[in-house]
Amino acid sequence: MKRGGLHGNRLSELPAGTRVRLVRVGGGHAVHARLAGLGLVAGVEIDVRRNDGRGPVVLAHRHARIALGRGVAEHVLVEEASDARGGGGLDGSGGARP
Amino acid sequence: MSGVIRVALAGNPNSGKTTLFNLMTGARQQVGNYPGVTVEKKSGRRLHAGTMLEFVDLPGTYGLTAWSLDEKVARDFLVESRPDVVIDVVDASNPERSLYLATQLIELGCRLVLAFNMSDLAEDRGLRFDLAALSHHFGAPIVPLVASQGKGLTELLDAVLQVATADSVGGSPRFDYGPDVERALGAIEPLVARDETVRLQWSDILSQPGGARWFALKLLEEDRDITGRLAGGSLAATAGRTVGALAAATGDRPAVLIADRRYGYISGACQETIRNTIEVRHTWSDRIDAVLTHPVVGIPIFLAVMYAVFKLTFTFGELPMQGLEHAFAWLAYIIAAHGAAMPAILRSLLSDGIIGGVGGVIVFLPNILLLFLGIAMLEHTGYMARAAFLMDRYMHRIGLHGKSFIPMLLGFGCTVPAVLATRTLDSRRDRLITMMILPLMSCGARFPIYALLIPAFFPSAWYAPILMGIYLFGVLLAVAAAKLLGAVVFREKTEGLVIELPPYRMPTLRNVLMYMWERSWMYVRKAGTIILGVSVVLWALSTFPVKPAGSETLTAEQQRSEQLAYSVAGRIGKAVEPALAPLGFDWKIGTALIGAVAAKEVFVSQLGIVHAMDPAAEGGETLRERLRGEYTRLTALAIILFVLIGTPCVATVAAVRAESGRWRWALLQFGGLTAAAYAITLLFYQSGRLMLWLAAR
Repeated sequence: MKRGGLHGNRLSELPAGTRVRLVRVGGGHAVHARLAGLGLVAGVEIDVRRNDGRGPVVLAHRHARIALGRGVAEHVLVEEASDARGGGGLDGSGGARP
Repeated sequence: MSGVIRVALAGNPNSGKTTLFNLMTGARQQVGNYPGVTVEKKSGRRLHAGTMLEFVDLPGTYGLTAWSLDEKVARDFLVESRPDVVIDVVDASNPERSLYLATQLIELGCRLVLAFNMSDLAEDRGLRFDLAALSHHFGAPIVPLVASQGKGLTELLDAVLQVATADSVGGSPRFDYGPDVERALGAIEPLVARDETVRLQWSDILSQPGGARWFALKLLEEDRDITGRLAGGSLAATAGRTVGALAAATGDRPAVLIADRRYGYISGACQETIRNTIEVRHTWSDRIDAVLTHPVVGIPIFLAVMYAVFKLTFTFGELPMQGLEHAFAWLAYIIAAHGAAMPAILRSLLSDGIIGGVGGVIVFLPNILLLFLGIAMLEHTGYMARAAFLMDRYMHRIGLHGKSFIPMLLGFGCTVPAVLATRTLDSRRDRLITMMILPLMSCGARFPIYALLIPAFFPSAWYAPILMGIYLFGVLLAVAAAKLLGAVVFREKTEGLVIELPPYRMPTLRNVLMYMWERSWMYVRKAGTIILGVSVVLWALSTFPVKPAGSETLTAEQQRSEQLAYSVAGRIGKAVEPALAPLGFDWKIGTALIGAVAAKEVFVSQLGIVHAMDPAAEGGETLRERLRGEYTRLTALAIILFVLIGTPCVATVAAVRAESGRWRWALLQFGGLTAAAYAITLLFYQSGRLMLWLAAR
């Protein structure tokens, strides 16, 4: 379960059209809890749908479209997703198996 | 089974929860507030198979943490009121995310029924479910549902009855949070059960099976509410050390590990039971968004939509509003004409005080109904989230949230509906700051004051620049006040924008009308009583003591003028004259300002009465001439400035009291704005005088 250090990019720096895997949500408990509620936890794959360089970033996670304010997006660390794993499969980090 | 079964309705925002609630309870709904907070609480009843079911609609949430007001409210209700069954409305086209809330409901020991709503849409999106297997994983029956068409309702209610009458919650899974967290839980759990504070404050949780484990879990998650209430105790200290050790060992806060394991469980369950046959990457909703949130045309479209709401509220509201004004005036006339048997004072109380007061509440109703119609459309189509997205960049600069823009815009029409529109803001901080600055957006009722004074003192070429200047100055003050409040009163930073852009949907007539009706009725009930009370008080202030009839013959205007001067309001005006003199105001202006507290436009009629002039006569020219004779241009501008900034009207005070839940905020706003008005007007008037004096030398 342990993930690597601080490698990865800030979500706010990536152009629209990039497919990425979420590595870490920084910026405190409240932000983590809110993003977790929306399904944005480490390991999930997201598409950057909109990034104008200013204003909020829009991302797609499954069928949901979520707008994150620039300040929030700066705290979300992501890495390039290997496209082999992409394609909408039901991914997720290994958790407690039912 | 006898007695009432209490059912709570939980679910994500946009999951169709409200539609399901309306469907289940019909028009038999009660709207109130959760104790101490302004989060709306709706409840309703339904008879099913001979059993009475009582439903409570919880706020739409993505989880049950203490980090957001809505989530805390939902959690407190579940903990304290222990409903017999909880229906979790799951968006079937996005099941994993929706099931995150379900895991937290299971942790709380709720008896759960999962309603897979919009299952038709999910099928269209290529999702195939093995509901029986999925149901097994979550230990709860799953009922597919299309709430907007009423499909699946009977099956859902059957499942609720079945779960309510089952002996135990035996089937619920017990989540495994991994060896590190489990070890920590094992260490803290026995301490929880022994802790004196926990036993006193959370006895209802501890008595539940698994209650101590839930509590220990919240301590590891560093839950704000629980750690805050335990601060200083030995349990909090132990938990803090454990959290620190876990973070050091794993490189993550336990809250992160726990959330990961919940999703791990969900993901495992869904992998076995849900098949995704097609992947839709660009839906038609995305195509609409390409236009509506376009970097170039998005803002003009947004402004056009806002203009339409504005127009809807204030233009279409105009006619019924005038109709109501006439109706109340007629009623007052009837009482005056046919109430000869009544003592004069009682007649005056009825016609000027009570009818004036009730009228003051009801005349706003067309505006408010239309405003909420507009907001309901924006909310139910999904456009509201886009508006917040578009405005966030600009509003962020003044420390506010994108959604704050809508109430601020509405404030130019009337502050009262604008205050009510702050309900769309999620964070209490953003909501309070927005509410506090709203009176600085110059409302329509202040317009008659400008329209009286500007032409009285300035040539017509100056009208538009002065008017524009007033409005802009109000906006600048609002921006400054928002920054100041953010820096001084509400220190925490604005929560960054995190908002789901739900797929565009056609709103159902029923949902829109119910939304509109509920909110308007709340306004009448809560603000109405306060406005009525204060109107009667203001009536008394300008009526008593009654001036004894003198021997001299006076016109009706002169009589009213003498009476007002003799009354408490007139006396207050005279008493505060020394304080108002540095602003360039005499006692007559002071008396008129007291009237403006009832409603800003009353200033004009009061000023007319103290000068024994009818402001309506000859288009106000006679009154203007009189004012020109008595006051200077500088005083006129000082009046405008004071009216713009100070003394929000009674309706605003009442609305802020109702919406913030506390008198404190309403009074702070009233006092703060009035003090600011005094200081700014003083500075303006005195420096103006200095400049005129220098120029004259």
